[in-house]
Amino acid sequence: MNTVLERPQIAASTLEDLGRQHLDALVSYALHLTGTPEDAVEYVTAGLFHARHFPAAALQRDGRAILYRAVTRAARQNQHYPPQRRGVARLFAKRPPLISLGPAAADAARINTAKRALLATEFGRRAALLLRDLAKLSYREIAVAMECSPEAASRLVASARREFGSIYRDISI
Amino acid sequence: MKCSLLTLSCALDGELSRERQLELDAHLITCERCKTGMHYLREETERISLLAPVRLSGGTATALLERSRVVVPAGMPSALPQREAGEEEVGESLRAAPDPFGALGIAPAILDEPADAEVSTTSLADEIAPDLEQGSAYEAMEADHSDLDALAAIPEELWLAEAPEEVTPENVVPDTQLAEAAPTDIAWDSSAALEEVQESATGPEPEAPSDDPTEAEPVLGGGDDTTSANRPSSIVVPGWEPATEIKVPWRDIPPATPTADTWTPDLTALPLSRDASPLPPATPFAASAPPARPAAAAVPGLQADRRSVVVDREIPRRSGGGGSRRPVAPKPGGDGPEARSWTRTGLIAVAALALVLILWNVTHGGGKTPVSHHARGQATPLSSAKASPSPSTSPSATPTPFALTGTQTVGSSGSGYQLQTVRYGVHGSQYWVVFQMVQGSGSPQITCGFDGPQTLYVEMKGVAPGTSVAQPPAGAAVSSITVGHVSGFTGAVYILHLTKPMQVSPSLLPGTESGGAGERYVDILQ
Repeated sequence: MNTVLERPQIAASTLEDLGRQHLDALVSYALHLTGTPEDAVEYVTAGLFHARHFPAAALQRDGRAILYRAVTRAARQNQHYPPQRRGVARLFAKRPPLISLGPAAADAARINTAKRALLATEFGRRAALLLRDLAKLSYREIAVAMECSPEAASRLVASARREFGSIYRDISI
Repeated sequence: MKCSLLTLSCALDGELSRERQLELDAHLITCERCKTGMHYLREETERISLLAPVRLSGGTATALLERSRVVVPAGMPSALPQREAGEEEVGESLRAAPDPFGALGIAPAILDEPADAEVSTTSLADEIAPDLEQGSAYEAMEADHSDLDALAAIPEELWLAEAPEEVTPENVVPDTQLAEAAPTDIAWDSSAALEEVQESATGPEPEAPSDDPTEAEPVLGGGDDTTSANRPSSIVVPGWEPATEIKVPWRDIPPATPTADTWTPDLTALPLSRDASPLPPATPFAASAPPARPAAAAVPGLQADRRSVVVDREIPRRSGGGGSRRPVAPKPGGDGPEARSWTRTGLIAVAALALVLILWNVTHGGGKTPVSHHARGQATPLSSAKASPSPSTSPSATPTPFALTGTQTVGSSGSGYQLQTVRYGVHGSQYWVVFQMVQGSGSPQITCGFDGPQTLYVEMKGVAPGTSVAQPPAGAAVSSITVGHVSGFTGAVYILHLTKPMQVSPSLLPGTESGGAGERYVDILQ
């Protein structure tokens, strides 16, 4: 005989604490990563939904980095949550109401030169740049979030800064 | 020291070692290029950090967490099924143990499942999480990413080096870290696991199980906490915790040969049977009254635990009772938004199909579709008339009144008329065909319509056909006229063959030319 683990429930408390603690930062990151509040909300929701299946040990060990990893993966793979219907069914599917982020999100979503340059960079570099300079993650945490090695994360951040600076100086003239 | 953007970036982030940082500081004193580069990097870092953050209100944050199912909304039932009466007797410590079978992709079996039932690949989460109907597609997609758990169990030195985001020369993992760490760690893990299995296989025979689930019994991953704690995570099967208990007879576990990188025991190949199981033997039930769950009843204390897993292929097939299957938690999605959406989609599709059919019927005349005899290769009325010029001749193949086009009807219910004569005349640009009828009362119902562009049918109800009908003069708009009873028509039918396609305007005029009683039916052709 063996028994089963109610793992989602056990991990839920940790995930809930982590989520409440870093939700603002996660939404800010997703908003600047995608550029639109609607996508940001859906990617953060998808990431948290995805993170429900992470082991509790991974949540406790990696902490916020694993949440950033889930959100980054959702954004990279265009995984909305609730999932978007495909085909003809999308015409008849009833979508739940969008969660409004309020006026603060509108201000954050306003396009300026820095955001335009940021959105012009490649996705992985943009994510690495935001993880480092906006979310203040260490290279080790960036490595967890970007699913690469810390060395690759450092190179990714350096190349992202170079690309972002180049684009910014080009479009700010 | 070489000038390097990577070094400058790492220094800006404070990720350089102390020695490297001192070298860089000394280098920056003399190198203007690096000094400028560091200045630019600081500017760009500042621009990113000045991006506006988002502050969520408490309600928004809660709503977002509830939508992602991290927080169960108040009033909603738990994702786990409710326990049945008597299940509380099962030890809570066992219930809290992890699910190694689920982590290995083996679905839990229920005790009363038929013996020949195939091992289902349905994950346990599908059964215990009935509130995931909206995310079913998402979860199905995520099921392919079940390696996340495995990633968490692999040493960071290994999985962090795997699959860099950008496959560029910069991101290629050049370190010898992977090459060095992988063989040693995994070799140690595999040998340790193998030794543990062999040691257990040659160990003492398991005793009869007791009611206390915490009593010493060969367990995998449990018992020796220090060993488990010191063991690298790469040996831990995803989903297993040190408290994991698999109470299967160790003597039946063959000395499996671990693979190179993971140790995944093939539990499906284990010759587990009730005879070899440490569980007590089956209680001899009376054959006439088999229990509802014989296998479950065979093991006291397990009957109430519906999620208990026993891999036993020798459980006899239930002889009767309809062959109940594994109890599956009711899925509320059957009446949820998914089902409603499909129902609504189906109704809309049926309505759209009905609308298309109605429009088709309307636009195509609702059964009055003109059917050309010529197209069907049938005899024309003219040829029939020529073949049998008798007025009583009925053409074998003639159009029905519903097959005529441009039908027009005058009169209503007059009767007793007799066709006296037919006259032809030219009135300006019009060509008149006048049917003189006498001895009747009321206005006879006369219908005319085209069967083809140059064949005009005139049906007269309540009008007896004349014995002889005058043919039109040569060179007129009407080349010939035929009279008779045609099947499908109730009255006498006059078939006018036109020399060219024309339009007809029928009308009824009272009286005769001489002013006597009668009716004149006029076809005005132009």
